[in-house]
Amino acid sequence: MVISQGPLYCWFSYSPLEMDMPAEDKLLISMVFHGLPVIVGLIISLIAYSLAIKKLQEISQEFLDESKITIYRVLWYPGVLFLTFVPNVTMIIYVIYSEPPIWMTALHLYLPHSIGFSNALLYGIQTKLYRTNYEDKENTSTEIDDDQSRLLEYQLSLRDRDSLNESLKEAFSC
Amino acid sequence: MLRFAEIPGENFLWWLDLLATTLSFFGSLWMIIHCMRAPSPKSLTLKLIAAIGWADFLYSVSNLLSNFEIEDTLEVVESFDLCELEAILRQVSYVLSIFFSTCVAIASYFSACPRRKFNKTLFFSVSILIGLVIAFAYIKIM
Repeated sequence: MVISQGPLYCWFSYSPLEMDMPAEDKLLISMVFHGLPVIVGLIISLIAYSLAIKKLQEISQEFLDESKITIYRVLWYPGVLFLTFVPNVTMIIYVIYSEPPIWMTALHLYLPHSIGFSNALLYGIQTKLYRTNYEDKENTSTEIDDDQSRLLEYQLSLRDRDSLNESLKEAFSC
Repeated sequence: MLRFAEIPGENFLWWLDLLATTLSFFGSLWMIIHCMRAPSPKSLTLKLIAAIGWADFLYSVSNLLSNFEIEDTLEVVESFDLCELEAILRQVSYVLSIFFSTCVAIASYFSACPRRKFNKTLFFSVSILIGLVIAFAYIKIM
């Protein structure tokens, strides 16, 4: 690989029309710079959210309904990560071997480049997150989010007085 | 930066890119402002969302830089200073945006099990540190 011309991004092109380099090398570069972060991020996110859903499923549906906790809402996060970055990686791999159709180029440009907007929509939907910080002074002082404190209250309600103290100590230790 | 030679509908793509980048720019700015306006101490999720906002903001800036770049796509870029800045901004912000989104996922798991010991301050500090290490590693191999 020639790096003498400056940073890779300043001279590297995935298109076969613009640069004479073996397709395997281009694929390797595209995977290191674009594919790897997306794949690793998606796998970890899916595992973490699946475990979170599993934990939440252990809690009674009645409590979840009362607290307005929607279990599968968390799937929006890896969903947006997938929708935003996977077309980008797909397009880069596609362009190494062939000329992409215009709709694919449009998707490649629009979805990853509007990441700030997608994230603002996604994380902005969590209005209660902001409400927690603006209004709920007690919770902010202990850094316990709404969902977490409601779950903790539920767990505490199931235990006797001795373990209640123990749980409180543990919850407030961080 | 991915360059295309003789793409049909290039003008449409340029406007589409500009639209997406502008939306992203203001969206990320909105995230940062909302997180900064929240009174201290801020929750872990809010801190991580602010980090995502900063990464997305830098990504939008690098996209804006490439949108207004005047050059022949088939020639080697002459101004390496601007190109280096854009390249570093783009790669670092791309990786960090994904990284902090993953950190939110991990934090969500811990939020779902309140009885598990979880030091949020340490988690945030370690996340920032790992994020910086990954960013520097990418700059190094570029």
